Amino acid sequence: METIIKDYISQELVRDPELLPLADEASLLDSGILDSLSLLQLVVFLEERFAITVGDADLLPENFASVNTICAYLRAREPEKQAAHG
Amino acid sequence: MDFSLSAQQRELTEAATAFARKELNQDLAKRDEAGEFPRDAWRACAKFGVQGLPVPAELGGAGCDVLTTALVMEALGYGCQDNGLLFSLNAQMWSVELPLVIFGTAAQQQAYLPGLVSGDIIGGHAMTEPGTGSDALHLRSRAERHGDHYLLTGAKQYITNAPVADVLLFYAQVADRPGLTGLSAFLVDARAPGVEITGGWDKMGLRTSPMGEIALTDCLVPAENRLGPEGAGMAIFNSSMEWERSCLFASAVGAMRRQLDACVEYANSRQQFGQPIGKFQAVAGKLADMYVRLEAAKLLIYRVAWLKQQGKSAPAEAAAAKLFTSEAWVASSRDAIQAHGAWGYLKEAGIERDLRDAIASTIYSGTSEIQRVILARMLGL
Ligand SMILES: Cc1cc2nc3c(=O)[nH]c(=O)nc-3n(C[C@H](O)[C@H](O)[C@H](O)COP(=O)(O)OP(=O)(O)OC[C@H]3O[C@@H](n4cnc5c(N)ncnc54)[C@H](O)[C@@H]3O)c2cc1C
Repeated sequence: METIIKDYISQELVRDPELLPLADEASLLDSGILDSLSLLQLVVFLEERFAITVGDADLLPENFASVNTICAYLRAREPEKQAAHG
Repeated sequence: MDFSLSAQQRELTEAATAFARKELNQDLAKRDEAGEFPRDAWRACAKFGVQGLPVPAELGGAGCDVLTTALVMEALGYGCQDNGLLFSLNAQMWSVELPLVIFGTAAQQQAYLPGLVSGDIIGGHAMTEPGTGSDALHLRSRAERHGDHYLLTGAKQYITNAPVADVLLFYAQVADRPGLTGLSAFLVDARAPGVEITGGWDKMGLRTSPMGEIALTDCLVPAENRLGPEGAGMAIFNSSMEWERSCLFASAVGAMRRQLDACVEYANSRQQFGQPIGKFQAVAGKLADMYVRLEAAKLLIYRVAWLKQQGKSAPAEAAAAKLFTSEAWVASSRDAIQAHGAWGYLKEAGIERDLRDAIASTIYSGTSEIQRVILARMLGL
């Protein structure tokens, strides 16, 4: 999961090559990699790639601060997803 | 893909149009001229259930699904010529009520939603500042935490409903938390000490929708009035803008249908050169273009409403629906005047008002240029 997300962010969202390679704990918000628009791009990607829906109330900085926090957020969603698929 | 409306949706939309025609158009020319907010019509809308449409039943609303809500707002746009009233209603529904439904605590929902739904209180969404319009998130308003309160200071402008509002959703940056992690939103009582609201701007259109400036000076707000956690401001703002872009413009679709009906009727009855003007291809072609714009806007809005109902993020679809519908409304409003000739240009006909009202739709909820910026980014550019 970390690799998929890191690859997407590195290839699609990082505009300044100096910020690469991206560490799992690197801050995505303070570095400007994620702004209000790239966050929406990322969410659309996550929804499609992991077949989930990301609720508006989940779009908090703490969930999208780094690759690690994104993965923690997605893992916390796993039981929900399994329940939905019965 | 099923494009048919259910019997319930048909009934509801017919009732909404009939209600709007009967109760929402009174004295419109006079109110438009005077820039007067129709409080009685606002209450009538609440009684009909408009403000409660997107609010879940357990919170006092009708709990309608997103598409049905959009259909009702379209039906109101068709029956109600007071675009200002509909804009004020939409502004409250999508950027005050929905944030409360999505981000509010049970106590916040209980405190505000019943009043907003019943029409007893009115809400405003206060983001834009003198220095920050399109670049909304870099705001200057500040919130300083003092124990179980915040002290809010800042200035907002162009805020719909502000002069008649009871509650404001006010965005500010929490001191000591830089950037997006500090951007937060607060429910502020419009009559609290430290709140000053001024109105009276003479607008080109939407004149029955009050707009004002807000100045907060050391305004003490209880911490329990913060909506969502500290740092939730961007999520709340993005969410309400996506809802506005998806649903607010359903009313514009209704207005475009009303314009087209009026144009067809006029083109069939007005005679020049010994025949109805609708027989001239140049006039007929204009009306055909109005029809195409209407249908395309409708499909974009219905699709994004459907996506929202599935709980999906739809930033590109919402931006496309907003961009296309607002620009289509302006174009149709111009065509409607042109098709009516000099009569369309007179205030008495009530046709020019739509153009004055429509132009604002390319500015609020993010300008047309900003929708293109969003779309370009979503396309990976
Ligand atoms: C009728 C009406 C009701 C409103 N109600 C509310 C409300 O209830 N609450 C609220 O908070 N605000 C409200 N607003 C304010 C509205 O959100 C802003 O007007 C809007 O975001 C644009 O900001 P601005 O007017 O400062 O224009 P600016 O941001 O100064 O833009 C000026 C011009 O520059 C263009 N521009 C700016 N940045 C870019 C860019 N990056 N790329 C290309 N072009 C760009 C714009 O598209 C525009 O053409 C309302 C506005 C109107 C007209």
